[in-house]
Amino acid sequence: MTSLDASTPLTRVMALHALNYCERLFYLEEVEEIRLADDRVYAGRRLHQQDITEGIETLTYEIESEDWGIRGKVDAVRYRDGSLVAYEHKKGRSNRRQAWESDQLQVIAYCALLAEATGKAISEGRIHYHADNVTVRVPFDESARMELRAAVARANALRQTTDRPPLTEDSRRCKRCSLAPVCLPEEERFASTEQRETQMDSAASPSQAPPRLFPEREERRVLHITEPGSQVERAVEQLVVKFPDRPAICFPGRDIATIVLHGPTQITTQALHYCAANGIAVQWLTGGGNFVAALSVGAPGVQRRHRQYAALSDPDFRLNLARRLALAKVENQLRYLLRLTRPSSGSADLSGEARAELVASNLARMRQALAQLSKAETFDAIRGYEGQAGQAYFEVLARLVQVDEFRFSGRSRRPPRDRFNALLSFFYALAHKDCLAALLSVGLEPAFGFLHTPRSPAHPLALDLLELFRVLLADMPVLGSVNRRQWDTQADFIVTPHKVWLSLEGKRKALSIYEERKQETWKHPVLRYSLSYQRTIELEARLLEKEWTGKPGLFARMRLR
Amino acid sequence: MEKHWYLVSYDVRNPKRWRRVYERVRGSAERVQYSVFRMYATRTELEAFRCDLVRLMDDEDDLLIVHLCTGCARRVVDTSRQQNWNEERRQVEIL
Ligand code: SF4
Repeated sequence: MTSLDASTPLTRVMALHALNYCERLFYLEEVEEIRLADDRVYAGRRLHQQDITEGIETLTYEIESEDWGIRGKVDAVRYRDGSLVAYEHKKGRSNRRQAWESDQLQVIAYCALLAEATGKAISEGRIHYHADNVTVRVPFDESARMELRAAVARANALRQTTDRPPLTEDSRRCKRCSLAPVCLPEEERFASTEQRETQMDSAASPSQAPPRLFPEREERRVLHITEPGSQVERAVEQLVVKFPDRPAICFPGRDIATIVLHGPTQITTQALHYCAANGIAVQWLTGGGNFVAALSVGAPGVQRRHRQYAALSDPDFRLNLARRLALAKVENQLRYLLRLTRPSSGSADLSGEARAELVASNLARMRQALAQLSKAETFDAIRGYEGQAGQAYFEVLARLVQVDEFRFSGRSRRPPRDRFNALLSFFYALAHKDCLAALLSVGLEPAFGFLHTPRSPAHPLALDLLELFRVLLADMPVLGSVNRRQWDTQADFIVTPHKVWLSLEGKRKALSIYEERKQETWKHPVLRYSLSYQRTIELEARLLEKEWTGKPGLFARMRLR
Repeated sequence: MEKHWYLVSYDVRNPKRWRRVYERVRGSAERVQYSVFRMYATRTELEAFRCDLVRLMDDEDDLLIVHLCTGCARRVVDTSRQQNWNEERRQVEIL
């Protein structure tokens, strides 16, 4: 018998279905509370709402049982030959005229609930598969009861642990699993084969790219509200943006993924409620693009925090991860410069002897820093080499600016002293915001990083993740747009002797260039499937979590070609 | 997942239900004409939408959803709006 204390929640019968399908699925849904419905889930739900048993009176009973430790809704109950029978309807097909194992467990649970609620003996349940119109009978006997007890006991045991169960053995199940984009089963399997191959260290053919279950791009839209005095309101299911002196614009609410509020713009409480209920993220930024706060949607996930704390509290683990990240950053910087200074690129004006020499010496400095980084044994050393490489990088980058008004001499952060630095700062701030949002939606604690220290106020883990994207999402689009002369040196900037920042016009231009860049797709160099940069941020956040949950080794391996 | 255009139209007999259906439809679709809407959605979004409407509608009400392939969408004649239905919708709005 299962001994239940009051704190063990009753397991939903639907969850038993998940448990039988895949223990990890049960864990993600029931323990970590990550739920993602896909089209099949909705279609199934619709089937249950429509009256599928035409003509026959059906009732839905909500029943719970302390004794069994379960609760659930029984679809339909009918008298057959003088005894009660629990019915379950499934939209799909039967397993060659047999019940699928997980469906069977589910109907057994309904029998148990019905028997207890009615006090009557119940000898069987039936499952009707609509796709092939098959009804399967499932006996409710002693072995069924034992199966149910065992399943509930297993569910309760899983609730006690903070470790995610392993992947299901049957990879075909993952293709039909709505949580695949969270679980990343194929990426995990890919990591395993890769490890095996490197261990054998053979001429074995490189592992196949994993089939992609991770969506290529976010399908809903992003709204940036920049006009001072504008306000986002809710009109039932629509989000309405009102402006001080032009007509309002309406958007179907379900079509929005994120609302970003810049500076003095408003959103009503009603609109916020709608956003929270519909999984729409809201982010508040200062006029200058710096992060203020976010309404993030996604399960809080105490188990995920536990694992993160445990992993990042281990100094060796942190050091390794920090080294890997710093290498990724510097290598990306180096590759970008090499691409730009390649003689064939034609973009660089490096004709002068002196310049060529300066470039060469800085590239050498970066290579040296890389070599030392890979052997660095302390955090200070890692940060030191990363800093040296960064200096060399910006010295070269500064030489590659072809428009006089944008020339700069090295990175100046606070405050930006020239136009180029103003652009970089704004782009970094935007990318930082997106990294932070990705971490929050994945359920990680952004305040606990590994390369950046917990002292830093700017969410160290978000700063860590940002290191992967600085070149891709900021340096490249900024230098590219400057050299293509996309900026108006007067109208887009506000220049004072000590500080340069973007005007409203400039910010809008920056936002559109940045967002366009995020939508571009590229091919992930390790996983070898293509996806937008926007999705890559979330993917890397999930791969980061895999460093301490499941299969490590995939995070921070993305490189510019 | 890919998005497609859908033409959505409904007939709801009771004013109270009509109001609810109308509001829900506007959460996913844009109005083209009275009780005729266009929706650009993924399969998941479409199923979620249908699921909600089934709950709001009654047996005597009707719902019509027409899936338009890219070619059909491009050939839609719609004098009520300027843009065509074949536009790649902007993923980001900067307001
Ligand atoms: S994707 Fe596969 S391993 Fe992950 S939860 Fe779903 S079925 Fe289980």
